[in-house]
Amino acid sequence: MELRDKRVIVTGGVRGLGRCMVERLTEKGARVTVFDLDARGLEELERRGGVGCVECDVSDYEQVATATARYHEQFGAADVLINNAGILYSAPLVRIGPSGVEKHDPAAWQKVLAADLSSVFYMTACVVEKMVATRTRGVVVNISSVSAAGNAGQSAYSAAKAGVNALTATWAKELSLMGIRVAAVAPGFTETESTKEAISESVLRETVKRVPLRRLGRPEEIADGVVHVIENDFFNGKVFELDGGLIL
Amino acid sequence: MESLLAEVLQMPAALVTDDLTMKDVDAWDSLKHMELVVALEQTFDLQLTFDEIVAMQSVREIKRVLGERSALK
Repeated sequence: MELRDKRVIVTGGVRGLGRCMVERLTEKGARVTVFDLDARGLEELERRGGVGCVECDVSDYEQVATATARYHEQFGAADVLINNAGILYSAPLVRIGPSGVEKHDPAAWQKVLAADLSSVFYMTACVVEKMVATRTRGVVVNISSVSAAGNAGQSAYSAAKAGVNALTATWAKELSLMGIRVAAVAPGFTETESTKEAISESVLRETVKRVPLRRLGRPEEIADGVVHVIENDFFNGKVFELDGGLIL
Repeated sequence: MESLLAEVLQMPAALVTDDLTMKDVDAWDSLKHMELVVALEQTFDLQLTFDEIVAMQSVREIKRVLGERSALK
């Protein structure tokens, strides 16, 4: 797919990897709209111009249904959906703490699954519905993670991202006949604020030692991977791992 | 056209009559329906609209849609 003048929705595009994707896509001439819950960040993005902004908590189905309906009224079907929004959360199933053995917080489990997996389901259902109804030959790119393979200390996050990979394969099988490709990009550990917030410096230092390239990924490298997946019309149903060779 | 439907729905061509509907064939689910749409589009070199795809719930309706598109001579 040639990106120039294509309508692209990026969830969680206010900061981090999503922001980098937005910049790369606008450079390519795409008409990008960001769905994000960060109202202040959206205002700042809107002031810079060149990008549409929609305030939406993509882990809430009602908000997604309303926001996508408004988007479709204004622009018609999107050509590309990038499911990037999510939260990075690290906690093992159990940990030995001062008060003995502590279980993973079930509320945190629910929150991560809602933000990282349900959001992908909600957004894709609402956006693809319109693609199908208008016979738009679109692309859905899900941002997964190398943690989908199972990363110690990330029960909820790993499970959510494994779910994203399963949805990617499932939807590619279901939607390809309608001309809609679905693929995923799985970054390894990347230089973003959310990585620094969720993973301690010492753990990150040890992780880098396990990366054959001995460094973290750069957001631009991940954004380039997303562009590649969109532009290569034969890439479908697969996860494009961008991890510097890391094997968990 | 009947042979195309029979091939996609994996049933004998003799059973593909005008009265045959999606409800009559277990295998004719929504995914199979899209497979059928793609096969028809490729065979008759056309792109069906969403409304046409939704309307094609029976062999008779498929023939009507294709007839209106002049795909069936």
